[in-house]
Amino acid sequence: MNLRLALIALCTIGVIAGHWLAFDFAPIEARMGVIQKIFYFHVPSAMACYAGFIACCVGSLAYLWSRKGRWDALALAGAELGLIFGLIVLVTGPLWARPAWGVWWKWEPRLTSMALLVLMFAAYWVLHTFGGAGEGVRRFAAALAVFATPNIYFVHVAVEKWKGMHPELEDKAGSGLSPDMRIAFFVSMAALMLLFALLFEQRYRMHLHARLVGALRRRIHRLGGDV
Amino acid sequence: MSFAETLALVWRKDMRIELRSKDTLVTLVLFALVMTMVFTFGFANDPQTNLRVFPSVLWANVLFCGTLGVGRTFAREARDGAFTALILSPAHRGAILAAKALVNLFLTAFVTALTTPILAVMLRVDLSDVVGLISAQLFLGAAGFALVGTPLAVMAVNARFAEVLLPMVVFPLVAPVLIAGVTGTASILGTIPEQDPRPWFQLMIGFDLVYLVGGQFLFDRMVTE
Amino acid sequence: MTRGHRIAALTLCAFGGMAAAALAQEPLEPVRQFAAAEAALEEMKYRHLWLAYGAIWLLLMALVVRTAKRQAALANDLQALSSRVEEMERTHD
Repeated sequence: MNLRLALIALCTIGVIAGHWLAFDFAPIEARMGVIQKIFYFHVPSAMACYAGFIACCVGSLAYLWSRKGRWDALALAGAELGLIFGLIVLVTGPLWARPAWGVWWKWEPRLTSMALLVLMFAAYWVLHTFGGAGEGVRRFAAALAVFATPNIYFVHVAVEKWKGMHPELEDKAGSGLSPDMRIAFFVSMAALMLLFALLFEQRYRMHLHARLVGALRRRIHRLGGDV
Repeated sequence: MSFAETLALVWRKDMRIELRSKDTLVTLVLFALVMTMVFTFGFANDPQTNLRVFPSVLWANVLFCGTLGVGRTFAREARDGAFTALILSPAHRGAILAAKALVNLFLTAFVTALTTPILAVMLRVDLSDVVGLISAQLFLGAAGFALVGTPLAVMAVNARFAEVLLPMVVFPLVAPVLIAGVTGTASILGTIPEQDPRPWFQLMIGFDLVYLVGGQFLFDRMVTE
Repeated sequence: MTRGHRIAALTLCAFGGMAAAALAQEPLEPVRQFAAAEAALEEMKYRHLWLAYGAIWLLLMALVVRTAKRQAALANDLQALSSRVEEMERTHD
């Protein structure tokens, strides 16, 4: 049986199961109430976001060293998925924060680091997409992705030291999870990571095909035809 | 040619052109002065408020001037088509990068040194007993800008919309320097409870070192042949 | 009753009546306020929960649809261009 179809089916089941578990099966949390249920997809989205950006960094390094186009396609796919899931995190976070903390946003280490991380890779994506088609731009964008990665550490350190003087806000994950919540969380995590993997593969293939089309067009042009 | 010889050569060439034509220098100084005026208009004459906003205003000035200066790094080479020649030459690319970064550092440091006293006077902030610390901070910050921005300025040679893209790319990357700068200056001036500026100096030095070494490694791979 | 007793009795009744009215008021007002504030918060929590999940799926669906469309266009292009290249290579040689 086609592996991709099987995985898509598994992912669909996982996502539906995750939703049901999150909404019906898991109990309502004592302190935060029903809004805590955002956590079941907010945290896995953050994991998927990091996975995407790490893929982008690895792809960029490999592209800078080997100059093979498929690594650049991998890096771009990673950045795109990382940005989508990062956007999900940055939208669902304030939606949770407004009822829970009373404000939409706070200059807390994790929030600031996340926002800056998304901005850095948004710059990478914009450069790659709108900066022109040359190899030079692509290689430059790859270097940018590699530059951005150690910066994540510096940003995190800087913001933690900065906010270290102010009272700490309570951890978003709250106290330990009950067994029912744990099941819901792990199913949601597995489903979302599978979704990430499927989308990533799809975007990667799309970018590979785009490069192939470009190469074919150049070949036609060299053979004297018009495109 | 050795690393040091290439570095000295490119540095001398760029400084000579710059000091003769003065186009980047004058543009930057005027821009910094305009920014200083704008910031002074924006804030009321309350000395307490002025002291509290001074770090932010100071580093916003550094940010804009630094980014503007960095964008001009390879402008002359790109305009005259000399960039390819520069890259194809047997000169050590790391040395070219280091020399360009030094030029950027000089420009940013010069403009900042000129406009910071003006800013302090206009906002009526007394910097007389903290001049050394503030200067050291501004120098490290300018170095951070130069070390991150100069490799990225290569983009201006190749990419479309470089004038818009370069700030978008540079701003998030220099965020740690800005945070360290603003909070460090605030702690030196005594406007925040934490009075020890050392962790911020450490952060800036660490940042500068990482990008000094990283830039050298990556620049080679970044420029196209 | 003497006049003094009547005045005393009326005064006591007046005070008693005010006290009774005050006691009758007090528990009602704060409870209604708390209940109203908590109900608003709960409503916001539910609304935000649905918005959050809606946002997640909207963004993901948008990505899937865009990728599928672009992939279809690229597949077409790929096929057309490959056959053209083959043809040109045949006539070229």
